[in-house]
Amino acid sequence: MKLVKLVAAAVALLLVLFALGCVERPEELAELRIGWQPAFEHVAVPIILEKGWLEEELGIPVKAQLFTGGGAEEFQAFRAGEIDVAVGGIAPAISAIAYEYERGHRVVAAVGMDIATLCIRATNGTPDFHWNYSDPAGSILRFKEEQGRPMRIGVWGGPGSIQWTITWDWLEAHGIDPEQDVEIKTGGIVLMEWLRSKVIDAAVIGAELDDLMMQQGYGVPVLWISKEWAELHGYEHSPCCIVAVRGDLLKEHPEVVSAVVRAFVRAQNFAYEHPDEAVRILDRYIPDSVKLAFGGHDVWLSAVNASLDHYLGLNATYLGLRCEGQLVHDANPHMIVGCALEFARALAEMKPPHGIPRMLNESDIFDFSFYDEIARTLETVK
Amino acid sequence: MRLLADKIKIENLRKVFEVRGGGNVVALNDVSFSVREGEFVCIVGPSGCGKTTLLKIIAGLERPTSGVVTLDGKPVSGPGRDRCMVFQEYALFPWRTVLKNITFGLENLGIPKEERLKIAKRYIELVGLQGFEDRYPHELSGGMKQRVGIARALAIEPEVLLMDEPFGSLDAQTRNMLQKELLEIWEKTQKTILFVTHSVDEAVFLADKIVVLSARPAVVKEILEVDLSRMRDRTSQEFNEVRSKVLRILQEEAQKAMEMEKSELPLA
Amino acid sequence: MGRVFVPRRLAGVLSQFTEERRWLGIVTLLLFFSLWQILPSYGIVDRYLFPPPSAVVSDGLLPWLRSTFLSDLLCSLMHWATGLMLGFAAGFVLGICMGWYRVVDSIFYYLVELVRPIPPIAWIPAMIIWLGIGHTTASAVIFIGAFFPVLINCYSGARNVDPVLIDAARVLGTRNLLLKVVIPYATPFILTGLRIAIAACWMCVVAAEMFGTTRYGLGWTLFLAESYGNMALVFAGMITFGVIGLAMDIAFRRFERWVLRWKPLAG
Repeated sequence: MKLVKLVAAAVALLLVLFALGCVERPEELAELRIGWQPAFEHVAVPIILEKGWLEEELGIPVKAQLFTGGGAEEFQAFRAGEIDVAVGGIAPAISAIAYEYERGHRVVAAVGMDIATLCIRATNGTPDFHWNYSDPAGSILRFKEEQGRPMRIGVWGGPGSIQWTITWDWLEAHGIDPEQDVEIKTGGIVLMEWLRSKVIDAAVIGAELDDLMMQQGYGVPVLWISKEWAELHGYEHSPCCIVAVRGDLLKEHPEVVSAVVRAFVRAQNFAYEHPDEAVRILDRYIPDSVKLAFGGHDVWLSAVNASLDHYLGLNATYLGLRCEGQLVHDANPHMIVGCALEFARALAEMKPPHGIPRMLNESDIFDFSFYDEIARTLETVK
Repeated sequence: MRLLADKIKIENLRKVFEVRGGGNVVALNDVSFSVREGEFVCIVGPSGCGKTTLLKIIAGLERPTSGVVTLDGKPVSGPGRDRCMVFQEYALFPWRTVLKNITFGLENLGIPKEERLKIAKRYIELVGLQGFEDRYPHELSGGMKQRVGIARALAIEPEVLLMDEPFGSLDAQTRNMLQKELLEIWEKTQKTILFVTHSVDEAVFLADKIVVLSARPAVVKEILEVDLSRMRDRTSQEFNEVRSKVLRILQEEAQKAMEMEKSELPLA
Repeated sequence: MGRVFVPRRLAGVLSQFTEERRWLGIVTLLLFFSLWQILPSYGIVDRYLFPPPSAVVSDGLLPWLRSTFLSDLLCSLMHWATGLMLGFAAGFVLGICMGWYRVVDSIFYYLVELVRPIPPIAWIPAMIIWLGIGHTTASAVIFIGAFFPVLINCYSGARNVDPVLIDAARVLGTRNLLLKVVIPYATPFILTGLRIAIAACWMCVVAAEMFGTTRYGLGWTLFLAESYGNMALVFAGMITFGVIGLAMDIAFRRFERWVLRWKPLAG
């Protein structure tokens, strides 16, 4: 019996130790960790690191972690406490806030908006099938009739991403059943490969990828779906990437959050005023593996440069609509409030396993206090 | 008195094996002897002299380099229904029951199921394994396994039964018992039997005729007719005389074999 | 102490428990589940990273059962079964032929050795390009998971047939050695390969379905749950995989023991 008791005690001890390992220890904030994804939309982060504004102000090291797997991966790390600040899509941020409601995570700034375009597959710049530019919904349904199968649409990011949510909602609003009338598949950079190989018929992608695809001729943009979605619901813009901070950071170190928002405001405006330098900085911080996935450093660079037109609203029209810049001036979160709430509604209405378990309102998602204070004392960047 | 017709004739059999690394080994050089119908012939010889090779050639499992084996005047080329073999390692199919092992050869002959069962039952009784039909080989003792082996070989009713040291893996008592049973089976079935063995005692006990092979390359050293009446008494004087004679021949050959092995050892 | 009537089978199981101290294992399980329930519930452990069993059931399993669970289960089982059967058939044929016929072995040996180390997951991107997105691709990935274990084990079995059994079969007049001796001899190896393949294929299901190749599937739901950060559902999914995998293994071992009833139990 003695042996048995000993074994039982050892097992119990091991289990407790293991469990304790998952306990959170109160953060003393030895360093600040920011997560971001490799796109020009997130250029604020490399700019902040390069200029050292945050380190100067806070006196603690600032580390950035790049997530090539998309928003889902980044926000998992966010929830696990591996990063304190996440620059990523509003949709996974809303998911994180909803699932961890008591934690009190909040969105404090916005970096990008209106970044999702529906592109259809093409050969040498000519679309592979019929498309009526003034009736996109009809074209999708017509595809099903003509080809005998639902159109396969690849959507950037995972399920629950911005592109996914926008596409899903837009389709339903136009009377298209996202489960029966089309086939929605998800992927990252691989979407480009699928489009090129005709594995999918269309893709909802954004930013540099549109330009890359047009340069190489295997796709043609037909619908600025994010803008259409916004207008559908009566908003001027659709949200894309934002800056989210963890609830415990807000509670325990609000001064740090303030500094973070300030840095993002400076960085966004810097990108507008010095776009070429911004691209050079981005080039230094994005690893070769990402550029390789694009098709090499030069291909990537030319795609980024081409995309500057619509990122920065440089006298550009995009699909016939005037571009007002998709990089958010001043990192102003107010620009996307209304449409972000629309997102939350859309997510809350989805059937499980999609969607979020509860509805969120404005104060659940956003904390404007930091930005508002900075806005009062805004100064231009040198 | 049995018929004196030649059942099997082995003429100038020669078997050469190629050895890895070049070179040849002559297993059988010029082996010739004949076997009468219904005879019980034992083949003895020093270790490694090619007794098993000889048996395999007769069975049709191997081809001779030169020479010929004829059965009833017809030359032998491959395995056939007329010759079946019993192995030292029993070679029972472990996934088949005793009954199914015995019917194995009958299945190959295309005999219908009911007929197969009848024949199998007959041979099970012959070897005294009634009640064990549904056992698997791993449940049997060595002696019982060999009984199955014998029944299996006899079931296809070959004219010649070839036995390669069949009792070599058994203990002395079981061995003696099976020797007696084999003689009874032989009396009942009147088969021609070629029996390879290491044991001179066994050979003298069982055989009508003993063929003594020389060391490698093997030739027939001597053929002894054993005229003693059955059941032979191992302790009798006549038995001993024959045994001594064979042993003497073997000893000479064993010496030669040892010397040959020494000469074949690689130079250090 | 009064006499208690216990049916013989139960008594056997019980005695195994007490004699081999198997009940220690039960104690560990109980301890594990109680800790898992208590620690997150009282906030000692992060409730979001480790939802307690009660949350896993109420927030993960039950909503799932009410929506797509059955479709997911059937879809995954279908992928698994299709890939497994085709992979087994192909691996069996090629493995036995390579093991028994030296010529076939020489022809395919290097090719097999080259392709074999590629894990099923690594095939996915290429398969999507070749076969498109859909059930075919999912099954094809699982096919790879079955093919190689079966091939290797069948090869082993056919290669190592006891030569004296071949001799015996020949003298007994066998014309088709492959069917009458080689395959029966190799059966234990074949079953080992099948058992490994069953488990490997089930593990491939997640990877095969993760890329959204099909609309339903346990792997796809698991992936969705992870994308939305629904940890309770993630756990429910993991446990489902584990339970079904275990059930498959137990069922197969029973089957194996029946087929190999002619084999003496080792030890």
